[in-house]
Amino acid sequence: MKRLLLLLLLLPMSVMAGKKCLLVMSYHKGYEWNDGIERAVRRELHGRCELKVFYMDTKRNTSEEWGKQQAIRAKNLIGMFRPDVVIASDDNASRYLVKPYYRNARLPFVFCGINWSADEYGYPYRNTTGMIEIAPVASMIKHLRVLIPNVRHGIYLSSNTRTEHKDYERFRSIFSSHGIQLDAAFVSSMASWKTVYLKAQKFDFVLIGNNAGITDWDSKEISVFALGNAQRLSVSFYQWMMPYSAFALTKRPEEQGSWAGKTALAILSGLKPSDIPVVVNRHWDMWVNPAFFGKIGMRVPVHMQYRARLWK
Amino acid sequence: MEVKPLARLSPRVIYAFVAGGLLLSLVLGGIVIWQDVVHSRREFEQMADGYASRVLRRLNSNVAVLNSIRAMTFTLDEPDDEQFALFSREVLRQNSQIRSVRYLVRVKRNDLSTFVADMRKRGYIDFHVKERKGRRWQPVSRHDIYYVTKFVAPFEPVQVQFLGHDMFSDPRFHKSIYAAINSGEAVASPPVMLPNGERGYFLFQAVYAGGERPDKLSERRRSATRLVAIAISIRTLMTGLNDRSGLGTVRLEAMDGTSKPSAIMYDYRAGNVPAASILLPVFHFKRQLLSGGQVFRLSMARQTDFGILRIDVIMIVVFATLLFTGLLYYILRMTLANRAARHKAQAELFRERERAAVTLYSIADAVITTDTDGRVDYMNPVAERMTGWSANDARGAPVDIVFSIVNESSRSRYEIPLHECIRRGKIIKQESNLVILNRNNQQIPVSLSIAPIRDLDGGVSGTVLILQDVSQSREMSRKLLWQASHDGLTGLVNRREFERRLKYAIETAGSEMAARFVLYMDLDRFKVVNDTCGHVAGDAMLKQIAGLLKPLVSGKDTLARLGGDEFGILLICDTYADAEQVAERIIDKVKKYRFSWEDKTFEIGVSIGMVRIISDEISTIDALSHADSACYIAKERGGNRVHVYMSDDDALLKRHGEMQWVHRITRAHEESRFRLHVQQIVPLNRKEDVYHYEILVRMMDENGEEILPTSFIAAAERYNMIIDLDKWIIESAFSHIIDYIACRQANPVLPHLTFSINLSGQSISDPGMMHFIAEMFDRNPGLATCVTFEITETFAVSNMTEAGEFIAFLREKGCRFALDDFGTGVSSFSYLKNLDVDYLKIDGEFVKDVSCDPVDFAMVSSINHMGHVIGVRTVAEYVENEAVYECLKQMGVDYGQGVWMQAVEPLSDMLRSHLDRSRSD
Repeated sequence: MKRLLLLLLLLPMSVMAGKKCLLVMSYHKGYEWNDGIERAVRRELHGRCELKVFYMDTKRNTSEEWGKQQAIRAKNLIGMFRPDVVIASDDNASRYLVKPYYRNARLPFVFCGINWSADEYGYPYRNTTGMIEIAPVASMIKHLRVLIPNVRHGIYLSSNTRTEHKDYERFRSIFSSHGIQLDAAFVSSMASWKTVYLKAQKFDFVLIGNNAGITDWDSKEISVFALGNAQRLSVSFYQWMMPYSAFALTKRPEEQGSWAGKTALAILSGLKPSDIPVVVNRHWDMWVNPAFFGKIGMRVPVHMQYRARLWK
Repeated sequence: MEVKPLARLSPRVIYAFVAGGLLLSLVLGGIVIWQDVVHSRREFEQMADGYASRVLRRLNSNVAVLNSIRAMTFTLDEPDDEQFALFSREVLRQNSQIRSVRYLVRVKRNDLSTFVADMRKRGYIDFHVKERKGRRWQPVSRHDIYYVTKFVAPFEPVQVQFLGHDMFSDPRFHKSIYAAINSGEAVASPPVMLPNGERGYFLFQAVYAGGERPDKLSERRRSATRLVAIAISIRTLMTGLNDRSGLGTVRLEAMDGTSKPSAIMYDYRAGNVPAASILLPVFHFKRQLLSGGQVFRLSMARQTDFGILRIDVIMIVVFATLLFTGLLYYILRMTLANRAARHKAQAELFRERERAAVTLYSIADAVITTDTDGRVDYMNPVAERMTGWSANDARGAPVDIVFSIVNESSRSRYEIPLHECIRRGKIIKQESNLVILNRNNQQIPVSLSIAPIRDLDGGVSGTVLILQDVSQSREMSRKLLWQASHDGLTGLVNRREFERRLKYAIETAGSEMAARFVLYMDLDRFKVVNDTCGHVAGDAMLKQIAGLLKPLVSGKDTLARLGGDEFGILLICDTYADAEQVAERIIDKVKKYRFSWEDKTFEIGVSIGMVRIISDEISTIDALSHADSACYIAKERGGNRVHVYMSDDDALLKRHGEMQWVHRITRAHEESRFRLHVQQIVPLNRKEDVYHYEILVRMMDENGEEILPTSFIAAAERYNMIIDLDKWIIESAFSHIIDYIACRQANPVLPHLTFSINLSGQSISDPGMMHFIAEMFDRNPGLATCVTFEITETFAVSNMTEAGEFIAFLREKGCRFALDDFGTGVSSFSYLKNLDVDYLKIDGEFVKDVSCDPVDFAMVSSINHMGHVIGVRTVAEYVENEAVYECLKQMGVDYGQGVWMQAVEPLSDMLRSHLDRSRSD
């Protein structure tokens, strides 16, 4: 009996031992979000699937042409490597690779890191499933109402990228549904960011968006600047923006990568992609930067102290 | 006394013991096994009961978990993904049997599209409400109300596929969900296959709007807006419980409404049970468990194995029982064996006593036992007869009262050495010269043996006296002694005894006052009687002469027959005159005596030579020689006179006597006046083709009268002329035999003859004689087988070495040997086996009265028997009447020889008669 159980346990591993997986990363290695996803995928697939990673590097090369070229390279790689399943991380992988070349194809794809905008790619296909990356907007609104009981108007300060625009639309809609007006300012340089930041201090709160795409970003300078000029509560959905924020609910890239890895394995073990619903991420971290709370003269509520992680 | 057969253990009893021991050990072992089984059953039931309780608690714990989930959802109004995930994660972590947690929301048909749109807006871009058809998903059918899975944990692809699942439309869950809504309690679903492939079931519980469970059923149905559900793995649930292995088979079945099992939810079987365990009982335990409105039946069964048995105790019990049985058997066996041994010993003792009693009763000896004080304790019948006392009368009486013993010779009282025997503890024997004097004043010669009787400790507890009646043996000894010293014919002292007494007389001549005289007497004309009427007549006359002489001598004198017709008297008297007076009376008496035989009457006379023993310096031989010479002179002077030997004419007389015999024998040789005669030795009990003869020699005197060898042989031996005489006899006999052998070779009809030739001791001692004979044998083949040499027993016993060598040397040549005159030497039996002889010639003195004298009969019978025992044939001489012949024949003596059977005849006549007979045949 024990031998049979051991055989059953080892059977999936043995079945998948000869399987090959390809991870197509939209961005480059060293990009923190990107690295978090890859790290989680590698952890899930370790020993169960031969993994190759292809970096499209579309964060540093944002041109359409670059994206398409990288997609062709990835396609060629798929032709040579002949993976059993492909994980497409973040939007550009779906935009340049999955949608043009593998829509409803036989090769299964698992996407992750798609920012609420899966509709753009026509998902779901018969051969795709994955996890939509959403920000915990509703939770953020709950906390904002605790911190700022009469919150009505905020501003979204972010880099000027397609993803940020798309996120803003989703945020604005949700905030609006909760009776909060959310304006936006998209900048492309650190100076512009500073300018907008100063202006934003007249709103009830500042929602700090992603800085990816601001090429002259100086983290130390901005952090000093932001703290020095903080008068309103600044919140964010990105952990790496905590040096410039007082409070954040951050997604975990590992959750995306982990889900993508598990789903890839489920597909390799026999589940069809269409049987696995597209899901959204459900875990996030709560961060509190005591310096900003002190700067703006606000106490950290007790329930946040219990749960939140302090940014030092 | 009857001795019962000794008790023994029959095989049936042994089998019964073995069977009983085995049965008892089986029963006791069975009891121990039964106790172990009962104990094991009790342990099993306790274990099963505990296990069932734990299963029930575990089942109910699922209800508690579901209640907590329900409380959580109620508390949060509407949990979000993160809240549900966090809470569910803890639930799953702490309850391994719970495989998934689901959160279902009630959606009315009209709200379905809105609900789906809202879910998609939240990021579930392909969310839709679906139902399960087999293993496939399909859009939900049209219903009024849906309970749709909104959250599911764990958040894994396999579980996530159930997002949007309308469980209410699933027929497997519909009743349970409905019951959960109606009851407000946790309700279990029927057994299902969980998404991960395990067998399990779902627990559903409704979450009512407003939190509290409405009292009314309709309100409960209306306000049940949400459901929480958990999927439970039965295997994990059951496996998580301890002590399952001791239960054997564990089965959990879900029961339907009819109290019948609807499905097996869990079925566990322990490892293989040894086949031999089927001999042991199977324990069963069943219990119905109610949890979440679902009735489960938990069944457990364990095949008892030998592990529950206290093998060591069983083995101890079995072995102890077998040991006990064996011990019992051993004790019984030993008891019976002891009883048997006791019976055997008693029987043995009885037999011994009987044997002893019979022996003592039958024994020819008198047996008397005494205590240590010498008082009679027991007497056997012989003792009663010997003592004249009955055993009862004698019991307790001192031995010396019951009988007394005296010395036969001295008549002095012999003190019975009882106390010496007791003191020394050794056997005392006294065999000679005792005579018992009994109560009837009878005297019985006895030999006495006294032996101590010892008790178990070795101490002397009494004595046993054995008195053997030696009357006959003592009489026989006396007779043998008498025969050894007396002449069998006349009853007078024989020459040997006479010489012994003469020697004594010579030795004491100087110390005694009385004078001693030797009278040497030779009958005149005795040969006339002998030749005319035969030996019997001669013997008869000799006996009468002896009787005639006896009254003429006193008791202190010795009258002896010295041989043939010669008598001697050792006379003790004071003077020559007294001696001559006795001699004259003898002459006168014999002169007047007339011997009548048949119709003949003979007148005889006697010549007496007398010599006085005046000194111890004379030898016995000289004394006799002097007397003989004097007798010869008296006879020469006409007989019937006495001639007194005087010392001064000693030389003349001696020489004259010797020379007379030397001269006569020499002349007989020169004048060939020796003749060979034969007497046949006849087989008594069988026919033989061989004729046996003894060669006898006769000397013819100057007048042609035969002189018997008894007259001249003694002289020839005395004067060393016997060797020449023997040589002449041998040469002459051999010459005839050789001639006969030659004739027989020419005429095979002639019978085979053998010849016995007497050899003197001097010839045997002469080395030349032996080689002379051997040379003759060597030169004449066939001669030795026809010859038997007779040597006297007296010489052979006295010269054992010489005789043995002589016999051995010549026997190798083929001749035979006979021991002549056997019986005259009393102690010759023990020497006989050392002499390699072929025949025993029983001395005629024993034979002639064998038919009427029991002592002679016993002697001849003993010699004959003894001879046969050592493989020697026996020859009896002096067969002179039919009674003797018949007696010898009955006795089994091989050969007889005597005038009644065959008269003496000349050798030449005998040979001629054979030759004539062969010619006539």
